[in-house]
Formats: sequence, C-alpha cells, structure tokens
Amino acid sequence: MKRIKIYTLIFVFALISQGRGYAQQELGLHFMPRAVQNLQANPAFMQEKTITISLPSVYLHGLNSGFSYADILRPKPGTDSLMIDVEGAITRMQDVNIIRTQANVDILGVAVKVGPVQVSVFTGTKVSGYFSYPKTLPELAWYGNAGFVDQTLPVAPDFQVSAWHEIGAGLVFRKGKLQIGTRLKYLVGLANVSAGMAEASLTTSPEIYQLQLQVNYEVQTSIFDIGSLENFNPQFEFKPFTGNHGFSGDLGLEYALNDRIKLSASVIDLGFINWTDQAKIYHAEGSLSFEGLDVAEVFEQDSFNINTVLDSLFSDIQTEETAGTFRTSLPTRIYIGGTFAPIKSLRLGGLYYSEFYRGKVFPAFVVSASKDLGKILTAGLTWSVRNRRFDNLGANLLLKLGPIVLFATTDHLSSFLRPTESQQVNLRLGLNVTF
Amino acid sequence: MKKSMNLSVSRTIFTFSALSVLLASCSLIEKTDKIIAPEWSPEVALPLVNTHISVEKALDKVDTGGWLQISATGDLALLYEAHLATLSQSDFPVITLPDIPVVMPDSQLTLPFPIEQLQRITLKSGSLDFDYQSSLSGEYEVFLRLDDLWKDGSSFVVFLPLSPSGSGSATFDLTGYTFVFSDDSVRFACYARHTGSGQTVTLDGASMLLKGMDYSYLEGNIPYYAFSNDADSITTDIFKQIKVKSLGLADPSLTFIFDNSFGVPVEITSLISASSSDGMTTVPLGHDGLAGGINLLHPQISEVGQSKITEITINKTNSNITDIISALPEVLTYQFGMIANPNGNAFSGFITDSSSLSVGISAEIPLEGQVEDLILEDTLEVDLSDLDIVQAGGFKLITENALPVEAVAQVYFLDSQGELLDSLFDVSSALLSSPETGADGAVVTPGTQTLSVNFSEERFSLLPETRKIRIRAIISTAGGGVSPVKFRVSDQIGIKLGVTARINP
Repeated sequence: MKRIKIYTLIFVFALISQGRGYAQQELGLHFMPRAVQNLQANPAFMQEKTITISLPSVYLHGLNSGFSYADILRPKPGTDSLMIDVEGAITRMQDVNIIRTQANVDILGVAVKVGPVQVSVFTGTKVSGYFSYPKTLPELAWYGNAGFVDQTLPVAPDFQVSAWHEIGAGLVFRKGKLQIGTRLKYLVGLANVSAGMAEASLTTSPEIYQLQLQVNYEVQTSIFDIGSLENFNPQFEFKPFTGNHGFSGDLGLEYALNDRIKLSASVIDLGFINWTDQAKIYHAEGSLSFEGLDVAEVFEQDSFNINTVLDSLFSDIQTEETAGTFRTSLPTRIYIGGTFAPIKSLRLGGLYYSEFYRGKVFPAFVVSASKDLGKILTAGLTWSVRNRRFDNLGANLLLKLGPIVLFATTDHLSSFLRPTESQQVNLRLGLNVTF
Repeated sequence: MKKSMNLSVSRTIFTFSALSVLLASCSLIEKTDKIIAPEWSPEVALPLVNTHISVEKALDKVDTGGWLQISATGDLALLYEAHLATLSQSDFPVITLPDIPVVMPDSQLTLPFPIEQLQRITLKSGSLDFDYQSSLSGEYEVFLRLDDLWKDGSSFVVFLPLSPSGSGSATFDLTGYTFVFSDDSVRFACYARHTGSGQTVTLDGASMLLKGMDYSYLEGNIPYYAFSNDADSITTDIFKQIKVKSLGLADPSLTFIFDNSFGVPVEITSLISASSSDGMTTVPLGHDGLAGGINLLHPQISEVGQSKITEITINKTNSNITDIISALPEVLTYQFGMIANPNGNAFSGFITDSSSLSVGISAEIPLEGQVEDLILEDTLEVDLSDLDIVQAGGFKLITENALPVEAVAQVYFLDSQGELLDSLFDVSSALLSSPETGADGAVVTPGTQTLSVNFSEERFSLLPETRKIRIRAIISTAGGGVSPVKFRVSDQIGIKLGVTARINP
C-alpha cells in the first residue's frame, strides 16, 4: 500500500511538473462519482457521503487546434538543431483555428445529502481565454498575398478573455430511479476583453492587385482598459468586486434504468454576464481600398507624403469609441451519457459532449472505464474524439484516504507523455473532505 | 500473490509514465538553444500606381512658359514668341553727314549741302571750327553767320572781338542746331566790322569746317538703300536629340512682327532659312509676297515718335513652311533682307536717332499632324543595389491611352561598365496601343494595353548590379503615324501598375 502511494505521488508530480494546464471542461470528471466536482458536469449527480467539502482545487486547460509543438519545431535533417517549420504548421491548420485557455480555481464548496435531497453551495473563480483565427491569416503573413489574387480572404480574429467569480447553490432531488438537479450561480465579472463583431476580409484584385479590406470589428472591454484605438495602452487594475453582474444555471438529470445502467443528461452554464463597469465599446467599420498611388494627384499637390496617403485610405473606415454595456454568454455545455457497471467496482461509460461558444460548436465523444481498486484507489481511463483528433487518451485517479479525497484527471495523457505532439492539454487537481 | 502482482504492474506503469514525461522535457530543453530561424520570403502583390494623367491637369501644373495654348474648342497649339532683332539708326546708314570744309573767298558764300533733297537736319552733335587771318588792327569785331542753321528761332550768328594779332580761331558747338534747307544749299557770311564806325571789311583768309555732325532728326528724301541685320540663328536642339522617320504638321503658322518707327518705307525681301547642322542643306523660307517684296508700314512726318506694326504671316497656304518642318531643320537662320525707299521715289520721310525697326516672331503650331517612329533614347544613372531584398517578382501594367499616339518601349539594365545585364521585355513591347481616332484626328476610343512581366529568381539576381538604365521608346501618332491626329486638352492616359515581389526582409 505504501509503495502504491509513492508511485502515485510520483505520477502526480510528473503531471504537475509539466506545468501546462489549459482546459475546456475536462471529460473524465463526468465519470468520477466520488469527486463532488462532477456536479460541474451534471448537477443531478448525488454524492456517496452525507457531507462533502471541496477544498481549493485547480483546473487548467489549453488548446491550440492549429498545430502542435512538433509541427512547428522540427529537427533539421542532418543536424542536431531544430528548425521552425512555419509552413508545416500552416499545412496542419484547419480553416479556422482556435487557441483556448482556461483556469478555474474552485475555492470552496459544500454538499450535504439528506435522504433524497442534496444541497450544495460553492464558490470559485474562472478565467477563460479564447482566440480564433482563420488559416488565411497566418497564410497571408507567411506567404504574402500574391498567391491569393482574385480571392477574398477572411482575416478577422475572434477573441474573448473573461474572468469572473461565481457563487452558487445546488439542489439534487431523487425520486425513485430519477435524480434531478440544478445549480444556480451568481456571477461577478472581473474583467473582459472580447470581440463583439469580428468581420474582416482582404481581397486582392486580379487587375493590378488592388487591395480591399472590409472591416466590421468591435472590441468590448470592461475593467480592462485598452486606452484608445489611436493610442493602445492596455491597463488593468484588479478589483475583487465590480459592477458586472450575471447569472447562470445548470440543469441535469440521471436515470437509473436498473442497478447497472444509468443514463444522464445535463446543460451547464446557461447564462450570461452583463458588463457595465468601465465598459467601453470600440467599433471600426468600413472599407479600406488601396488601388495604387494616384500620382497625378500627388503631382497636383506638389509634394508626396505617405502619411497623407495612409490617412486618406483609413478615412473610409469609421471608428467609434463609446461607453456602453454589453453582454457575454458563458460557454454552454451539454452532456448526454450513460454508464454501465458490469460489476460493482467497474464502470463503463459513454458520453456525448458539446460546447457552444462564440457561435461555434465544439463536440466530443467519450468512452470511459473506471475501476475501484480497493477502497482507496479509483482509476479510470477515457478515450475521446475531440477537435478531429482520435488520440485523446485520458486518465483519472482518485485516492480516498479516510475522509480525504485527492484526485487528478486529464483527458490528454499524450500531452504529458508526448507533449511536443499534443495540441491540447488539461488537468484537474482536487482535494475534498467527505464525511 | 495477486495483490503483489497488481503492485508490480502499477509500479511499472507509473515509472514508465514519469520517465517518459521527464525525458521528453529534457530533450526539448536541450535543443532550444539550437533553433534555426526560418527563411521568411513572402510574395506580395501590390498596386503601385493607378492614375489618370490628363493634358488639362498637366497644363494646370506645369509652367509651359506660354508655349502651349488651348483654343476655345479644346485644341492644343504650341506657341512661340521671341524677339529676333532690332535695327537702330546706326544700323540704318542710309544717310551719314559728312564734314563740310568752307573757305570764304568773300564775305558771303553759298555752298550746296552734300546730301540733296533734305528739308531739315537737327544736330545732336557737331561743331564749327573757324579760322581767320587779317592785317586789320584796331577796334574791330568778327562777324560769322549761317543763315540756314537755326536754334531757338534764330539763325547761327556770332560776334568775336578781333584778335590783336589780326588772326584767330574759334570753335562753336552746333548741338541742338537745325539745318533748314530751302534749296539744298547752305549760306555762310563772314566779315569784320569796326566797332565805332560800323564799317565792314572782308577778312583776308577765313575758313570754316563743319565736322562731327550727327543728327537726332533728319527729314527729307531718303534714298534707295538695301541692307540687312546681322545674321543670327536658332539651333533646334530637339531635332538633334531625337530621330524621327517623318514628321508632318497640319497647319503651322509663323508670324513675323515688324515694329517700325523710321519714317521711311522699307521693303522686306527675305526672312529665314532652315538648314541642317552641317549647313549642307539650306532651304529658304518662301512666301508668296517675298519675291515682290513686302512693304512695311512706317510713320508719317506728322507721326514722329510713333511706330507702325506690320505682321507677315507664314502658313501652309502662302509658304513652304510645312516642307521646312518636315525636313527637320537643325538650324534656323534669320537674316532679314530690307530695302529702304525701294522704288527710289522722291518723298519726304524722316529718321530720328531713336528710330528703330524691331523684328519679333510668333509661332503658332497646332498640335495636329503626324509623327512616324519618333525615337527617344536616354540613359539614366541608377543604383538598384537595394533590390537585393527582392528575390523574384514581376509587374503588370495596364494603360488606357486616350492620347493620339502609340508607343513601344524597351528598358535595358546595364552594369557600371555599360554591359547589358538584362532587358525589361523579351522584345520591345507596346506600352501605349493606338487609340481609334475620328475623321478630325481626335481620339474617339482609347487604346488599352496590358503588359505582364515576370522576373525569375535568376533574372532578379542580376538586377542589383544595375547602375544604368537605358530607355528606348519609339513613338508614332495613332494609326502608325501616317494620318494626321489632333491633340486636345481633354486627352489623357490612364496608367495602372501593380507589382509582385518575393522579398526576403
């Protein structure tokens, strides 16, 4: 038993030592009934113990859908050096590529089960970063526009960086084979920078390569001040309490077909934050068209000043900076799954997951198996199809040392074993006390 | 046993996982200081020029010095105005006043004036030297008089005290005196008079000399006199610098402007001649009126101080000017043949010391005609070494030509020794295609031309060595230069130029 603990600690240390954690919601958590944090996947999950206290836990997640470290940094043949392979990375990219980071700190939570009812309260802080860019943007930067003559290329990146506190309460009610649960959360927005509208396209005419940039772009900020469109000077002053308020709700159910099979479904983070505190909206709209220098006009003006030319070009793009409120939606997720327990200590599961965010859908499909290795250790594996990759092998491990529950879970073991080839990494570490 | 086996498997898995992760990390860290930056060489496509250059806008901006004129109908014409020559009294030596010696054999003498048929001569310079010898002594004074020389309403009269020696001399300034002739002669009187009795005595030896006379005004009959200005020439450098197969102007016109304040009839017998630079070929400008002489207007005696302007216009209908221009003369020599009083008739005219005959020229050449194969060639010093950041590229040129011309061109890239590195086009290419012109020679439909040139990496590698660019253009008027065309102020050229360049910043 002692050796198991030692090697478990080594493994956990190895995971931690990689130090990089980013996340969409991890999928393995859904299959960890002994971790109260699984309420974040389905609020209808009821805990084994009467009282569960979740102590501060960290939840990190990162995604670069465009390319992996190994895609862009390759060994140079015949040398012991690495070369930056931009073309290789671009080749791997999809039409739209996403970089996401997320860091959640679950500060404290308590769940109390009384008979068929479970009540919980919790609080935490979340930081979410999202950046998407069309493949054409790096293509333009790297190859230039000569290869895209007579094409209209989307070039607008979309982004959102948000941080917020959440304080919430949950309720689970069991009636026969059915458990229904909900969680309601009050949100305090700490800061936000996001693109409201993100439309921009560049067209290179086949005639003499005239350039036309169509722009309809909006940047929204709250607390985080970017200065102005003319003088970018970002500043951020952390305030634990702000005037940005929001609400979100989770709703879930679990139905036990029999003693071995359970079906579940949930909707998580259906909500929004109204950003009103130091909120600003920067809007640029118009068309920038550069058709070449009108040398006759320059000739008439006696002198040529490139700044004058540029000013006249950008004069067709109207910019506006206003103080105003805006609303952002949370990344809403749905989980539809089931588990089958052929024996009491073994659970096989399947899950369809989908996240709706920034107008895009991020689906995943997961199968899992977890085994209670005695009363202390529960270990599980997941295999998921996500972001068009099929090599997402995950693992989760839960140690129950008396009232102490220590657990770790990741959906991407390969990101630790083969970090250079991974495009996604996530990790959750948690510590609970159960009675 | 079973428990022990489980422990062994778990241990192996954990150890393997941990070592794999750590080894992967070490491998990355080891290589991070040996990262080779990629070679970034984007190929950009940019529009450089997109403009319409109209003749009207160009004229608004360019100071043509009045050389270009726009008619009310928008036609263009070249204007040239210049002063060619001025003839003054000194260039018109039809009459010069000689010195006149006078020996008085008696107390009175009448001599014919050396120039006949003059009425008046006002002197602006001249003097009268007077000498006398006598045996008289006592109170005498010498009296001298010219009855035909007047000033301020009085004739020339001088009284001198007789020298005690009986001989003497004196000099008198004649400036401002006017000879007023009644019969082409001058009357002199000279004697001594006793101051007491008033008795007059003829001096034994008295003589006078009228000398250094020049006039400020002369009136009378001016004789026939042929003369000309000193020959001068204009070198038409433009025809030296260019080569052209043929050149024709539809309606050139030259106007010679004679401004004459001589009160004398003058006839023009020749104007200019055009010749090649070596002088081997000379073609005089012919005019229908030159053979018989063209009379200039002149002021009458009552119009002294005024001038009269005579314009002689040379055009294609009354001269051979089109032939002269077609011959592309390199030197235009102007020497005006003139005859004063060409008929030799008696008449009363005048000349003053401020009289002049100035000649100016005003040329108006409507930009209407035809040019065939006008070759323009020039070599420019350039340094394209900065182009070494460009690996390859090309350009696309679109011209929309509403000027009534067509042009082909070639650009040669030369190294510092003048050796040919490359040329812009494989063969000389049409930069401006011929527009369609109407019956009046004006552009009806612009000509459009698209040129694309690509420079491979191999070709581009030579360009940074370029130190000279030789440009050769062959220009003809629309339609091959065989039919007259008309340039209008509304004519314009549209130029669109886009470039592609693979750069290595």
